[in-house]
Amino acid sequence: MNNKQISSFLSKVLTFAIKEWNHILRDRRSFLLTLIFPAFIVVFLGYAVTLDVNRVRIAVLDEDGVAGRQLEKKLEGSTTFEVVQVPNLPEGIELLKEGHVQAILQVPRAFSKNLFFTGKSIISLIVDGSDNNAARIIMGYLADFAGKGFYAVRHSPPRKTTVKYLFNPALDTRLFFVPGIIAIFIFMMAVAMTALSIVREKEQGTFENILVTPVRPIHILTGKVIPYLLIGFVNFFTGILCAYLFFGFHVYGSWVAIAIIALLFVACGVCLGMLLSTLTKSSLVAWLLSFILTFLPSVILSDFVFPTRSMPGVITAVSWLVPTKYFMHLLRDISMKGAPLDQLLHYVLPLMGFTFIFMLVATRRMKRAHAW
Amino acid sequence: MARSDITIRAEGLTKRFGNLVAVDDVSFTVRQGEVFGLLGPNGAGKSTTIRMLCGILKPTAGYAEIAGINVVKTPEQVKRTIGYMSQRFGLYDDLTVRENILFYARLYIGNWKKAAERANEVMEKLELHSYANTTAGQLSGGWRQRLALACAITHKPPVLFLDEPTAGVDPLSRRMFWDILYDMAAEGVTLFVTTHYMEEAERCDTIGFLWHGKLAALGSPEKIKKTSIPAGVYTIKGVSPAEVVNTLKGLPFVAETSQYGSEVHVITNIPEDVTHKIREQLMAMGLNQARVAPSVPSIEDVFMYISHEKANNIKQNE
Ligand SMILES: Nc1ncnc2c1ncn2[C@@H]1O[C@H](COP(=O)(O)OP(=O)(O)OP(=O)(O)O)[C@@H](O)[C@H]1O
Ligand SMILES: [Mg+2]
Repeated sequence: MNNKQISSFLSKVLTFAIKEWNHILRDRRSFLLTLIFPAFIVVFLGYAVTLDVNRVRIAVLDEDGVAGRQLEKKLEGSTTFEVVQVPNLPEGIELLKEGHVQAILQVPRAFSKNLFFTGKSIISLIVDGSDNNAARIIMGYLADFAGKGFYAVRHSPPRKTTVKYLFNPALDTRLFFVPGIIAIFIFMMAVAMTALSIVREKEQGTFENILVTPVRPIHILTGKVIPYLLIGFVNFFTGILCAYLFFGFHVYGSWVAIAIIALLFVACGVCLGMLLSTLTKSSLVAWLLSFILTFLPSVILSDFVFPTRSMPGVITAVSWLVPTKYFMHLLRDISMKGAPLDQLLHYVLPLMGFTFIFMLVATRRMKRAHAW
Repeated sequence: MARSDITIRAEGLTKRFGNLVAVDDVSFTVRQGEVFGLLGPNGAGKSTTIRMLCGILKPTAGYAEIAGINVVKTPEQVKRTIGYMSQRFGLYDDLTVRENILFYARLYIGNWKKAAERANEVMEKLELHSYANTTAGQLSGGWRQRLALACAITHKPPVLFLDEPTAGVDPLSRRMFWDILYDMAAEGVTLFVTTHYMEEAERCDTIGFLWHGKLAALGSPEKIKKTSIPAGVYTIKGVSPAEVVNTLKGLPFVAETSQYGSEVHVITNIPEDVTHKIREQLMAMGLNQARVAPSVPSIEDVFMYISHEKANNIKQNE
């Protein structure tokens, strides 16, 4: 390309970017909402949804009478548990069924005697598995608890179980999934805003006018990328700022790395939005497509809260097609573990690949509609 | 007529959408500076024809040429030659008049200073400058129409396509709009216009009548009026038009009757003078006050007749 071609290219791209920017600024209310939305989502969802288990009601069936009492006291002393005494197992099961308690801790007869003489003894824990996540956490807590609870019974502890949590020492699940929320919403907004901005032109009939001007799809697409990329980028940092202010989110790794992956991720969303815009002429369809194709996979298949590794093989494979998954890992690895970008290329490169493919297919499809 | 004089040439232009033949083997030429009017009922294929000529819709068959450029082969190359005002105007309602015009000006003119100058020039020319900072959505029909025209001519195209530019616009604005079009034609711009208004058709140098995708008539308004109806046209005044239509409809020599206010136009299918026959029929029904006179067909009469004939032909073929 010579100078003249470059300046002609830039002129057309900027013309589109400025026009798009005018549209965005003209609709003040939507623009403000767009800017506030990430903050709102982070704070609202961050406080409302928590995976921490608090005030778990637990039934204790104490058949031993000695160790049971001690354990019970310990449990009552913690803020996590609320203890209910039950005289026999059937009654405990009844409470569990009705949802009054989430677990039953059964301390069998001769528990302390066995423990005293052999150093081994069994207690059984029955957990309501219908809330799978809570169940797992209760089990973790109680295992930890039981180990510590019996120091007093034996003079020296049999074997110390130590679990040390790296990277999120307080095990605050908010720190784990608030960045995930940001990722999911930033992506959805980038896709939907871009797709709608192009589909709206088709609906208004302005697209037809653009077709007769000497612009090419690449001008239209590049011109539209700029403003939406900017907005998505700003949105991301608004979200991160809120996560820091409200939940003490901390980035152990490099901010530059965070900025780079955020830019890449938003670009990926913008390009996907363009691709979707070539599939339909209706705003409603564009909106639905954006929602279905980004929100659901981002929530379910991105390791946001549901580990994809433990899903059936086919679904795990499909989850590798979800760009949010790559970003989710990048964001966590950089912010929590402080991993440098060059060790994360296995996440960065696929994200780049998706962006490139979306852009390419969008341009191709638009070209076909454009000329012939 | 020199060959180089021809700005638009269509040969056997055809567009199919599945089973529907939207434009069927249409051929015509338009000279430089001519005002060509394409008419036809809804769905006749007018917009489809324009979109093929503008290079945004690929013809199924046929050839189109604008200013010597093969549109079918190199649609990109005609873009600087043509301006296009689409049927729905396609304005950005949330942008101001200036922003709308400037957007198109900049797409065509890389130098933004020149683009701004040109935008001002166009606003001046179409008297839009007092609305420069008004958003397009707030404009009334007539001004929207002017804005759409302004957006289409920022690059001074020698050929201009206007798809129903006056639809839904008041008569005075329509009149003023046509004056602008004539000025442009006088400057040598070739104009290709579609319309539903017969008085606008009368103002074109050449008109084409599309009927179900076929070009059913082509020529100057005078020529079309003289040659398209092989029989006679009669005007009947002075009595209730509805009764006249009821009386005459279905008579063997009557092809078409149509009502225009208090008048009825009757088109016959025989060349002989039937003034007295019509009068007899009306008298028989007690319509003694009827004034019957042979008349020159209007463009509308011609199109009514053509539509009638075509529909009959189809019926007979079936
Ligand atoms: N993209 C398309 N796909 C399928 N059918 C189409 C398409 N565009 C137009 N048609 C059909 O082709 C026919 C001609 O349409 P066209 O818009 O050219 O008519 P028109 O003469 O401009 O009508 P109007 O006066 O209503 O604007 C119509 O039957 C229309 O439904
Ligand atoms: Mg039309």
